[in-house]
Amino acid sequence: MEMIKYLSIILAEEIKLSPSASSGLIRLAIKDEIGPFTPLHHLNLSDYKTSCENALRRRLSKLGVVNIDQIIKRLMIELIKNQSLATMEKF
Amino acid sequence: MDTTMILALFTVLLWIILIDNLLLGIFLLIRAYQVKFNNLYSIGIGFVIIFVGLFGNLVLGYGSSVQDIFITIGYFFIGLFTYLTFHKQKVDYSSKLILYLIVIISFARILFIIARTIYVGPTTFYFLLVTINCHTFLVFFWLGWSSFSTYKRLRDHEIAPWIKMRYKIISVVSFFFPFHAISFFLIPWYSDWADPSNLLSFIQFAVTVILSLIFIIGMIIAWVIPKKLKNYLNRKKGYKPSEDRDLSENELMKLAQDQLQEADNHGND
Repeated sequence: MEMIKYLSIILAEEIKLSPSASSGLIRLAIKDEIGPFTPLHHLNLSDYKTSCENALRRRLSKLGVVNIDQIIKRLMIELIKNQSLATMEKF
Repeated sequence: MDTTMILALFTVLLWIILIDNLLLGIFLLIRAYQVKFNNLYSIGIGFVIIFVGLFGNLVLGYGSSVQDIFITIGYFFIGLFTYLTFHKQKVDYSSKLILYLIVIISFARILFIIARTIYVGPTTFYFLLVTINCHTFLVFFWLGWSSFSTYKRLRDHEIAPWIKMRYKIISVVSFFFPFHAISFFLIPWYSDWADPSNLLSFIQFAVTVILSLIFIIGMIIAWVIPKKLKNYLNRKKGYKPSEDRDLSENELMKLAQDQLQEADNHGND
């Protein structure tokens, strides 16, 4: 899932995590928000947005990360700027 | 090669375009249903509508005006796809403005098509050509530019090379395709599209067929990339798909916590 990978690299840059740990965090956030039964290849822009804005924010807060608003804002900007990736990575 | 043979060749090419439009449209509609993406419905409907227009004219003989109305609607759906795929939820209003402009020009184009069936004269003809050109360039340059600018942004990122290839192909074919619309100015106002007895009209037909063929084949390659080609492109660029470690939720949170702690300690040092 290239969108998750792309977002995880940005998150990794922001909070100094390894890309695989960031990717895991984003996947957990998606699972929290969308539920465990939605396949990742069905995720659309709104799913990514709500997962980052809600569940990822909570996860970061639980980890004691500072500047969460700034991190989420950057993720939102990158997500909307490159929203076509959600379509282009399909099939 | 005599004129009849050339005409036969271009008719075969036109049939290839016709069938490819239908196949690509159906393929995208099936995929849209599978992944539940509305933007893919939009482009799929666009290609099917263009097929219906071409089929209505070439096979059922409804005439070029009916064909042009369907093509106009098809282009609108391709413009809608560009908006939904690349620009939805953007804060700036320029993309919304372009979409509104496409809607307005689509209506204007249909009005001039109808006007030309009522009044056959140079005025309606050249107004129609201007709207056709504005419409075609706006729809396809927008798609090409949106795809190209995203490609440029993502080019140096670690993203699967076949996805970058998809962006690249869509950009290139979308930039070239609209130039066929300029060739419409070659047609004398009293002549019909693709009139074989008129050389200029025939040249216009040939240019349209060739650019349309390049466009539809490019679109098919972009959207129906076989798995083998994807793997080849990935291998060629030395790309390795990320392998996530199979960790439980608690293990993952612990790993993140440890890494953050470590980063914090390094920061303090």
